[in-house]
Amino acid sequence: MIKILKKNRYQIINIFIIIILFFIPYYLFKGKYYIGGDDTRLLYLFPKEYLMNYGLFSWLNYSSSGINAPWQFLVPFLVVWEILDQIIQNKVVLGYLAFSVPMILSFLYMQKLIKEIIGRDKYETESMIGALIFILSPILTVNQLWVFLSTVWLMGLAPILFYYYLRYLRTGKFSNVFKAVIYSTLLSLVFLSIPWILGMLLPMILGILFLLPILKIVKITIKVKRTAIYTICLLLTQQFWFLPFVLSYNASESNDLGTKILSEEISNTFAPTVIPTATGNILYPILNLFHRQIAFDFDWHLAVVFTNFYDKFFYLGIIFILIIALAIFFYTKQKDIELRKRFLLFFTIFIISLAFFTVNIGPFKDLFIFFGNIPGFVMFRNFYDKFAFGYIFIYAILISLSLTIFREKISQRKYKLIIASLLLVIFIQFLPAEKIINAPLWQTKNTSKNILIPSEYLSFMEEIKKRISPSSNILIYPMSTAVYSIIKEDDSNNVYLGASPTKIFTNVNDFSGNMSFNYGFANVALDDLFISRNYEGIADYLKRYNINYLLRIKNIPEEASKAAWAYRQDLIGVFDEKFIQELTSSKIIESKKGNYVLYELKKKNIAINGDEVYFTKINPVTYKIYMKNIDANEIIFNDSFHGGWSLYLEKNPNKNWCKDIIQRVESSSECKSIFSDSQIFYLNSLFNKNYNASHKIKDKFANSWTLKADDIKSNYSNEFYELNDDGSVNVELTLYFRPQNYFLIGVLLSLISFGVITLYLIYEKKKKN
Amino acid sequence: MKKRKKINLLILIFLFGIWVFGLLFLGKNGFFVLVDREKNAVNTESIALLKDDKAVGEFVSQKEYLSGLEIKFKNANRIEYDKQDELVFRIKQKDSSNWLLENKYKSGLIKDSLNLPIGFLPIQDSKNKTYYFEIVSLNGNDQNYVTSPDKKNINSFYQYPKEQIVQNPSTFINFLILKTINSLTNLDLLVNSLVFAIPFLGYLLYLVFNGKTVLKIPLYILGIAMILIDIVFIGFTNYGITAIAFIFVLAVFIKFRDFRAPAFLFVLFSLFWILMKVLGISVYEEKINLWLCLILILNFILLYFFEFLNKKQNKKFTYKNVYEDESQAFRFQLYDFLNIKQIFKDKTVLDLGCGYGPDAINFSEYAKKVEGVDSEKHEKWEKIRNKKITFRIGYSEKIPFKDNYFDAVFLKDLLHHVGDVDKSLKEINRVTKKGGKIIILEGNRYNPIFYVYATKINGHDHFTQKEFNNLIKKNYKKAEISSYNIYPPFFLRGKVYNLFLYLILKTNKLKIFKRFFSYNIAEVTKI
Repeated sequence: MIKILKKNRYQIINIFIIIILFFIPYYLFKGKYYIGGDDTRLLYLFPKEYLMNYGLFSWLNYSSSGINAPWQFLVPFLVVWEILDQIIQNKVVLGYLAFSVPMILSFLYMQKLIKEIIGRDKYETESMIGALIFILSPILTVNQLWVFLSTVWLMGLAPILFYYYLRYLRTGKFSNVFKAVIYSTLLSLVFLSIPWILGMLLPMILGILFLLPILKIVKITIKVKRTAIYTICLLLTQQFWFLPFVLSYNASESNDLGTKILSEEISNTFAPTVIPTATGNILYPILNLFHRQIAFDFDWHLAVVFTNFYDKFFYLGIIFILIIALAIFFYTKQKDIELRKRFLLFFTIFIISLAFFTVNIGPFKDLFIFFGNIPGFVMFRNFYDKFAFGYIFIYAILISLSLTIFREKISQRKYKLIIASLLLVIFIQFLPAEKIINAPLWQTKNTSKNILIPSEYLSFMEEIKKRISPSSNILIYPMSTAVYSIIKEDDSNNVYLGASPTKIFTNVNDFSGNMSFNYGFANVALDDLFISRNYEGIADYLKRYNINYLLRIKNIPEEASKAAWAYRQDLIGVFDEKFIQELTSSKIIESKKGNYVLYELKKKNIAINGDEVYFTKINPVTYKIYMKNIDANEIIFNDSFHGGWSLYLEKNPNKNWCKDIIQRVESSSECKSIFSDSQIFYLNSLFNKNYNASHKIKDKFANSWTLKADDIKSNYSNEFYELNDDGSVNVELTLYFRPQNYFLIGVLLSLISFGVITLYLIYEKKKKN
Repeated sequence: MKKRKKINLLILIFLFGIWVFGLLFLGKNGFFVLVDREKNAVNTESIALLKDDKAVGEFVSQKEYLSGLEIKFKNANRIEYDKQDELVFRIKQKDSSNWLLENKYKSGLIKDSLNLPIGFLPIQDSKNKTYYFEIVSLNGNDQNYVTSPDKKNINSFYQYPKEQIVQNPSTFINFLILKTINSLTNLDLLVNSLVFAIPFLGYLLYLVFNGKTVLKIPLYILGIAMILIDIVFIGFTNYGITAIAFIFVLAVFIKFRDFRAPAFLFVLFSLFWILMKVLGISVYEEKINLWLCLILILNFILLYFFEFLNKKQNKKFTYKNVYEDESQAFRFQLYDFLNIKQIFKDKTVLDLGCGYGPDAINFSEYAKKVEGVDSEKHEKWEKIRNKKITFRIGYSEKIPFKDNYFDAVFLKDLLHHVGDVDKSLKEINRVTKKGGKIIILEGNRYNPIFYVYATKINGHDHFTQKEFNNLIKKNYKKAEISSYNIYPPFFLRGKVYNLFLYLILKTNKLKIFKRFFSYNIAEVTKI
């Protein structure tokens, strides 16, 4: 029995640790959802809603989603998560899996990766220690688990991709490429975190370049070939998000609101934020406590954890310094050249990575400021955060390699003592994780992020979905500083305070904060109107943005409403009863307990303006339009301007799809359509000629076209229009967001690539047999 | 010996370079743009700043390009952000009504005993002009107040505008000259820069004393004594810490005279930093950090250098290095390709068809034991035979050893001479242990050179690649078959053969000609 246990001790420890990791979220969150704070984690709980309203479309309306970049990264993950949801039927368990699965994956594959890097069988303990350092490090806790966004999956995917890459490089077995492709597709949501990935790759590439003169790379052509195959296969299968991502970035025009805002944000905030956030010294990262200085500089809650815990035990981290120093000390005595070089490679990468986020040391700070605009130095906003993941990844591998360098050089008793102390330090450093992860919301003390979404809120959202046209917009009241909305738990002060979930639940777009508007020029004007209480001006402004409803949230905890990062303190007073009276005409929906109320605004607008226009929204990227009596008529689409919006003329124009008129503003009518809600893809515009010549920005926000009967008659055959007696024409149009095509082409490319890769794998297996 | 001197000289130059660089650009001297700093006769008194209190002062700028003041406040408490005091700093030319700078600073920014730099756009014609400044507290109270600096704690600094420096080479050189003159003539800077001279002086002294270990213990005692003196009498000044660090660095260099010294320094400085933290002395945090950065980089450079030297020693074969014995050159390249050294290391090896035993001698350098077998006795056997190598007469169809005897078997150019090939291969399998390796090399019939030289002229009946493959596959379950292009010296000698070999080895990358490579090779694992 003991023999069997001894023989399988690593497997037993692995299983034991996996069980602990699986139950960690139950201990941390105690049965509540962990979704609040800053960006949203609702996708882990409501995958279906996310998929239908966000994931499949290139256009998210510049509002609560904050950006108009495509989010197709999420699609495969959401599909898998939805299947899990159907199987588990329990949102808490589902939400907690999003926390524990990345850790488990990371633990398993990090071990495999380190073993592969060491390349010798006998270093099981060292590999396991490396994996434990990685997943339990305070740096990773702060960087990934604290915020627990999509980047959290990078913990798992990064070691997986590196592991299969190394395996493929060594063995040439194509099955490794196949597995990597599968994992990266399922976890493609990670690619939303491109800055983190770059933050990891950059030091690695530089490190390898540095060491090229001394690395003896045998069979270089094979390695280059395999690297190319691996990268190309990964890239080709990821086309479903990669193509729209690159092309829509490439296709963005200087006039696009998104482009304007992004460039403004970059120039305003990149360099200035880097300089204060890069303070610190190199010893804290080496002690595995990177964020100390930042926590104090930004007055994070984390500072309390440091003063109460880490500062008292920080000297324990000397063990890491000792291990690295011992490795350097015994380096020349190690006879295994390969092992030595692997250590040196990661030591180099480690120093580069360390330099990237601790640049602000003494006089280096001046150097840093001097090179203010060189990419790499100010590559990312808040870049300490973006490099931290790569740093801890490399650091964990380095410690494992360090152990292997001197394991045989010191007495086994001493070595075991070092290992035991190291394990102890790793666990001690992880102890305050609960305090970090469950920290109250920014700048609050009693408002936390763990909540159960009240049924009142969910049924209220259900009502909105039933009764409000999806082509209208809603204003969340009071407005936040960013794109946040708030949901308070029933029996505590805890809240969800993050990206507004209205669109997820209702498919109706909402303007929840200043950033929902094209902040920069527009929100300044709006703020001025608010402060001067110019209700007439506000009403006109909201009308321009096609905002017809106002959603009032009454139960915001006082502490949260006073948080300057969430609500502008000089504006929050404006949102009072008078505001409601002046701007709204009637109360439409009220939740059961009265905490949420939806009002209709006095001044209303409609998604598409024009004379004699009938339209219906099929999905977020497609509208169907019928226009009568066109001579030279303007048609205005009240959504933020983008060059990708295109009009297509349809053959045999008719408006049979218009069942009833559900709303009418001036001479525009919105129809209740015969198209079902689930009609996600509407493909007929894929290869048609578009009518785009006169597309221009209207009122600094909307899209407008001028349709001329003469143009139509000369450019289209007569089956595309109905000619009236007075020479005017009637047409049926499809308004389509063209970048959606990139997604469809991308999906096609991905499917073909998958097919080819699978076939090749089968061929290779058959050939071997 | 000469080489050692050269390395020492290079190290000294490198370390001296660090000092010069540190003097010009690091430490108190600022990087790039800062040309000079000086203590002005600033006229101000130290007071605790409570709400609406004002500290004022004035000074005469000594140089052009005045660009800021460094002020050392005293901060009583570190308190929460929203409770901190706000200080307004203003500066103007005396008698002027326009403020050059008016800015607010949170008291939390101010750390005890660190200078708060307050910079503004450089004033080009500031020389000999008088400037007036004031510091006003907006929310000072007994909890959050800071103490304004006295005249000892205010420095003015001067810097070239960055744009001007990079405008053209002449302005850059001007700036560099000005900066060098200012750095060398400023005693304060010179003394401060000694912190960067520690490695240089340490290494120089180490060389002068020729690494006499006798100094080691007195140095440690001296270091500890200086720490005590420093704590008790001086209170940890810059000079004190420089001297202590210097002594310890010297001691470490003497103790470890090789690549290991910086690793030890790394731990030493880290411990020192932790000691400072525990004692609550934060003044040296940045300095020690800077040192740690440099030590880490030094460690990297040394490890890199070590590997670089190593690589040079194990240099790959090039046409420039001539082997004394051409046939050995041929063999070593072949072993390299076959990874023989790894496979035969500490193993019992059979060299079947050993001839007079040239391969057996080579194998004996790393193998545990080598048995040479050939069909006829050779004269050289007696001379070569030793503890590790034995020779005996035998035939591949009936190898004179018991089952599972060898860890590895090597046979080169033997099979095409053998009567019953299949039987021989089975026999080889018999004497090999489970998991053991069998390495078979056979000339390729369709190699153009071999076809003419070996098959047509000398009548060797080499196998074709296909025949060889079939033979191996038929007799062994686990075998890796490859081919390699290499030739024995024939009649070529010296540099000519080396050049020939060098070029021929390059052809191995042309995989499309694999069919015509000179040798067919099988690496069999017995299962």
